[in-house]
Amino acid sequence: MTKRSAADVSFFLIDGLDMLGTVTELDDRREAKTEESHTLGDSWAEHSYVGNRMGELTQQGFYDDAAGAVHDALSSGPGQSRIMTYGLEGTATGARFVGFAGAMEVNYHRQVSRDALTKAKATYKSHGPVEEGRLLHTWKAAGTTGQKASVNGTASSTGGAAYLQYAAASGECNVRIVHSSDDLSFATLFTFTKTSVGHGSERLTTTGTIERYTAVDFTTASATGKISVFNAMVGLVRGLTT
Amino acid sequence: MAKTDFSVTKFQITSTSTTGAFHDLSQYIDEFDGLEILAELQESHTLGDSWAEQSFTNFRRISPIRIAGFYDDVAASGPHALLGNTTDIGAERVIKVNFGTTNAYPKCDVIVKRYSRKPTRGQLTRYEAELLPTGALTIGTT
Repeated sequence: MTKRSAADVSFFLIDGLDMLGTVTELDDRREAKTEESHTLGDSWAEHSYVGNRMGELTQQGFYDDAAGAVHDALSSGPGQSRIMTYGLEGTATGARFVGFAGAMEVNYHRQVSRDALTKAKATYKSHGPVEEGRLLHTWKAAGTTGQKASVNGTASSTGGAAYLQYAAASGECNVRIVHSSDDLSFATLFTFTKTSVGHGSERLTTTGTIERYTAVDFTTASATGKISVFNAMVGLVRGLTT
Repeated sequence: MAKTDFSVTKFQITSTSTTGAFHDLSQYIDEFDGLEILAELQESHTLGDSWAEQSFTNFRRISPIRIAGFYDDVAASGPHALLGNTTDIGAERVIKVNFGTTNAYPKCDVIVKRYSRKPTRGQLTRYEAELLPTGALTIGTT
């Protein structure tokens, strides 16, 4: 039984831009659409789920105009739908993360007050699934090439989704998610698009089986590729929702 | 006649559908808006009346139920495990609440309408859930 605190929030990423350093509060809501369904003869109100869910996330924090900071991430955003991920259970491989397949930025609010730092707030609504999965690689430098430590899950046959968020100062990288039934022999499950200089994100889906053990694999895309200046977050969601 | 308080209140919810086993969520709740039952009324005064009159329509509803507490990732029996999975949102459950009276549990079916998590600087992360009652409130003894 583990309570979590603000110190356990390990990353908050939109399209490869890390906003954790300026955010003081996140509020992540999921909601089921319902409709009153009682009819003539009923004496108590009844409600039915209409089969549609939505998510909404609000962020509050400090305004920061540094390159790649919150203003860069949000100023051109209203009306855009981008991949968003955040983790609030620490950095361990296998920790849970939340992924918005599309986070539609509804507004960006800069608030200036006397005797206070300027604040920045934004609200997003889900454009597609809001999913919860397990980290294969938390937001940090990829370090050396090769396959990283595997996550021991439970084999599933209901498909899934893979999330990649990255920021690269130089070089290129091929990122794969691999899976195995015995933690010895691994096969490719997902292959992300080769990354390039800058920042970005990608979500891939599968409808097939995902074996028990999963891991991320980083390889340089060229002889001069340098993944040492490559930050990445990779996560896997079991069970595909649409 | 005995007054009761927070310390004797017990909140239980089923884990799957409306027939699953009850799980005690009490240890994860520090805010509970209570159980509110409303009678639907209709104004029924007519010409000649100088005071408003209300008539009961024979229709009742239970207000949405809000619970909140510290987010906890404990498997199987905690708030996130019972209410926070994607498939829980929109799912139907049964709740029963003991306000301290022996063997008298208000019970009703609910739909998990909303679930949120809120990490805040300098604080423990909190969760909040809204349960939307559907159907009648009954008083059970188990």
